[in-house]
Amino acid sequence: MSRLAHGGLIDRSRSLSFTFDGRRYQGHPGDTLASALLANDVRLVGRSFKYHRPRGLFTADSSEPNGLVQIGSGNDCDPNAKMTTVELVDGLEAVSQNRWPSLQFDLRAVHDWIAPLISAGFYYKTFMWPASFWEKVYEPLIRKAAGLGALGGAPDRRQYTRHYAHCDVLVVGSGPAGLTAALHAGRAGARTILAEEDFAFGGQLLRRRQVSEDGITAAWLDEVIDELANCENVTLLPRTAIFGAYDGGHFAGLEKPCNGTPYRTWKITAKRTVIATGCQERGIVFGGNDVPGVMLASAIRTYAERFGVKPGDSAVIFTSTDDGWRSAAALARCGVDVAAIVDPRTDVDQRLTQDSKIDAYCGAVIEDVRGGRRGVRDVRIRDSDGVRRQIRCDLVGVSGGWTPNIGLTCHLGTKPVWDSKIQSYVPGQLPNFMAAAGSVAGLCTTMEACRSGAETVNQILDSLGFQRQRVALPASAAITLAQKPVWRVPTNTRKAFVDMQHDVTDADIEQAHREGFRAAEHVKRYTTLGMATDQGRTSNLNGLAILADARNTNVADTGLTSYRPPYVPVPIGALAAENREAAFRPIRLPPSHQWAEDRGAIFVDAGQWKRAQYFPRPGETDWRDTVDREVSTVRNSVGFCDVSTLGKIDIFGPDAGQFLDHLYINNWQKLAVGKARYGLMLREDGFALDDGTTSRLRSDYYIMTTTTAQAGRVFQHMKFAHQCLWPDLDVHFVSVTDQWAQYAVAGPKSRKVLQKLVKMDISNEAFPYMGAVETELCGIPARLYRLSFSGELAYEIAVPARYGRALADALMEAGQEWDICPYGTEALGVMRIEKGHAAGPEIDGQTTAFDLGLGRMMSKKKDYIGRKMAERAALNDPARPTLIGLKSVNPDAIFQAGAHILPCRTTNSAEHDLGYVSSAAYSPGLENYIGLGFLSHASERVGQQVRAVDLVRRRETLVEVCDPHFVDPEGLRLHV
Amino acid sequence: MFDPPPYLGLAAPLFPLVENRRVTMLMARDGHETALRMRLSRELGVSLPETGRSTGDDSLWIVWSGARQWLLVGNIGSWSPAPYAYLSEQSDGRAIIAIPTEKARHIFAHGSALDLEDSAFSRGQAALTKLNHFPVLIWRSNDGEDRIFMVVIRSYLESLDAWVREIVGG
Repeated sequence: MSRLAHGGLIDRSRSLSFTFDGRRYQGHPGDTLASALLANDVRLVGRSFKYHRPRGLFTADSSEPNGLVQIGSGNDCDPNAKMTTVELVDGLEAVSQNRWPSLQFDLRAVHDWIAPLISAGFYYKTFMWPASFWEKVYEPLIRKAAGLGALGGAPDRRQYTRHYAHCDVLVVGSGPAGLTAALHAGRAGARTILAEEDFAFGGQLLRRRQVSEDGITAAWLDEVIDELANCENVTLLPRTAIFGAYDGGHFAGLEKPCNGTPYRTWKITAKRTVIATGCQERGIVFGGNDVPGVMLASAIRTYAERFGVKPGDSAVIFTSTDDGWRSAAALARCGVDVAAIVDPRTDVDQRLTQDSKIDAYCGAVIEDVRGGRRGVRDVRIRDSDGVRRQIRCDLVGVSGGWTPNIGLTCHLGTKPVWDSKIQSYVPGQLPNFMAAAGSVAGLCTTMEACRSGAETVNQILDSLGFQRQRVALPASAAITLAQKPVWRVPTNTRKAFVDMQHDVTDADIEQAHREGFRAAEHVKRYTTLGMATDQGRTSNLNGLAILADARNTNVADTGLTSYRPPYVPVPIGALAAENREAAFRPIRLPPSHQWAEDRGAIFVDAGQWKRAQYFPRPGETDWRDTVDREVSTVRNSVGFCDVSTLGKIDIFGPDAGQFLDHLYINNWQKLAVGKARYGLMLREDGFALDDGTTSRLRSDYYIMTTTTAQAGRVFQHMKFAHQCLWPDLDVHFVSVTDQWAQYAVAGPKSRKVLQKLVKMDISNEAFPYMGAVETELCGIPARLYRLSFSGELAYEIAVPARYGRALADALMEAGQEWDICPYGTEALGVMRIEKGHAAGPEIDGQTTAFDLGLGRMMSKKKDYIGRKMAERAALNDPARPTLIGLKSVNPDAIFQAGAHILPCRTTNSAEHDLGYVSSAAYSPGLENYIGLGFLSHASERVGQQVRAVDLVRRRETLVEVCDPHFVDPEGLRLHV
Repeated sequence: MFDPPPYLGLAAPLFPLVENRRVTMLMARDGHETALRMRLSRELGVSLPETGRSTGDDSLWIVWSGARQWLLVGNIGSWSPAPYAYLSEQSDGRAIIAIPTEKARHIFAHGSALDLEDSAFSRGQAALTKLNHFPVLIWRSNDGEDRIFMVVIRSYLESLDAWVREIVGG
């Protein structure tokens, strides 16, 4: 065991049991999976992405590139979890990834031997022949051989949730700057949210609790956290990574599960935000820098001081920063034998060298680390005189400098600026709702970070009108922060990794440069540098420096790649939250829904609506039996269908007719009161938007109907037209779709049925075709329209929605003697195809009035939306496919929508394509499969035989081109 | 033959529906808002609310509902706003749910970016928004019991109720 005898922020009084690759281990509350494994002497934690090299932990935080595991098992597992951020809980199951057959013995490690063949971008140059093998063979093989974890494949049953929050001040990060900022904001009474990615607050203070070198004591940290936790206006969000910054002060966060709580996505709207995300220690690129046991110096220190774990017995610290020296001293205090400090600098602060009792090699570098999957064996250093020597050790701590965690500050497009003092990028000019505090704004001491947090938040509090409150900051000792970036030590012996998660070496970057990639963004994509789940947090700057070296320029002039959300990986389930399965989207139910359900209706989704598709009766075993029966009943007697889902819009005002003239292609101002008219409206580009009937019920009142699917779109279109194009028109409109339950009553007996229910005379003479009237039905207000979508004598009757069910019952009772039946959308579709009416499949956004055979409706006496664009020559070309009827030559030969229409005796190729089938159905009356479609030179082809070729369903049907009006082409039935 | 329920709604909604109230949409004609305001005050004894506000009480609420549009919730008899405005009947098209404000805050925290805390949404305020993709109009009671009234399109009612149940664990 490598657990230190004392120290650390773990609860040693309790033990937690967990497994890694099936083997059981023990840890303590307060441990991460990473620290618990180290405490159990587990050094090998993963295999690398491409070469399957053995890897150990490199960091102690969310920038970890190596320690990726699958948490849980079965379908509810989380792949690619960083073990450095997984809070240890009892019963936790973790499994290593990307290895076969085991982590210890991975046969795919053979990739490391053939590394010269699979360097950066190899797949762009190899596997070129035969081309068809790429998708079928090569890519699947590459994906199988290289990669990360895998999902279970079955639905994830775990709960996810979402939470919106609002605050005056959002503080991201709980290091000294974040805590101080939150404390000031909390005391001032501002609504404050403090979000921390870790499960413990404190940031870097957590690893300094034992030594308090800055004078920040554990007691101060506990006091601050305790005060914030008890402050009503402060919300503490531990385990919550803010992963995206968006316009207007919106931030997205991901809260990890804890003790049975689900993953939670936070959407936070903040008036002001303090970014206090600190900085990240970076490594140095040298030979063998990925051997298990090579870690960031700060990570080793975190394991020792926060978790009470000794990651090795004998350490060498390779540092070009003063902080590396302090890490070495801290390790020595924890009982780790620090064999040497290797510092490339020759001007190290004497206070550090004098205080240190460790062998120090200034002006020296580590050239190579030797070891294998069991860990580091020794390091080879080259001192300032060029003398090489070997030092035995099992742990190498690396400190190559500090990089501010600026990701969030760049999500809105802010360009970071180069700070030559710290040789790294710091936030640029931030949006006014965002400010950076602490070491993210530039390397600083703990005390300076506290002051920065206080100053930043006090300016924010002033701007928001809060009274500043005094907060005593703890006294702090002065420390040195000198650093000299050392990006890499050139080596010719062993691979030197820049991006460990994506197996990108210094040689890969140089190769990319040799092949002509100069820009940082191009090199990133060619080599995949920084494109892994850690977003290159430990590798980006080293990679840029190597590129700068190849370009013979400096890092600042090399450019920087873009930062985009998410800052940490986010499960898709957390984004969907509760919106899954039945709650995937809102569902709308028409007034007759329960009535239809009681009668065994089968429902179909029509946009958000659930509509009755058909009403099977006992004995009907096939949906076609039911639909054929419903169609025949309507054609021969009477049936009714709920059309409440059609969009309905009340339009008021003296200019309502003029407004309709602008919307529709035909004329409306002269429509008589009590009459309905069919209309087609176009988009601004001249293509058909929607169709429907609009009725004039009073001189200044119309009611428009739209299709079910386009109701919202049409209403939006009307709003735009009124607010932006014709704001002077005295017209007002509002949706009344849900106000009315509306049924189409169709068939030769429909008048007899309805006449039983309404007092008014509805004979053909008194209420002719296209009549519309406000009336009463059994004493309740109703509207009656003489409209037909089926081609039969038909009416549509509307009553207030609460009466919808009662009206359905009344229709059934009134039509009983004619064997009335309800019919669904399938029968509705069959009958409208028989009648040749265009619907959604025809008005699909790609057709014009001309295509739909409605060119003659287009008024030449007025202007309307889409008129000019519809006049474009290409849209009026006779060769353009127009609406046509189709029927199978063999009546029983099926053809379906989507089939292409091709001439007989040609190959099935695009050059012969004449058009396509848009709708098709079996017509029980014609005893034939029929359809509608769009065909080039359609009128010239009537009577010809063509082929309906369905490449998806592998079906080809000989069909005859015909008039689209299969039933009652003269329209006689409508007028009886 | 017609014996309808008093309101087309759920048999047992999680939160009570405001029933037996007539709901009408009032749309003011351009340039006639002042005259309409005076007419309302004189004939119905209520004032026309400003943008994002509501006025009235349990007998008649007037809730801002968009540009020159207000929802009237309550019996207005045969009152007509002509010639200054138009009325559209919405009694069957909208359902109104009353939710104690504290519970509404919890529900909205799961599905809306709207801030319902006192400092952002005080008594009498109104807003058009979306709650987990459901378009809703809400207003906070002016006085008496602190409640949020939520107007939802009738056809969404069952779906919304199911989602709210999941959120509050009902």
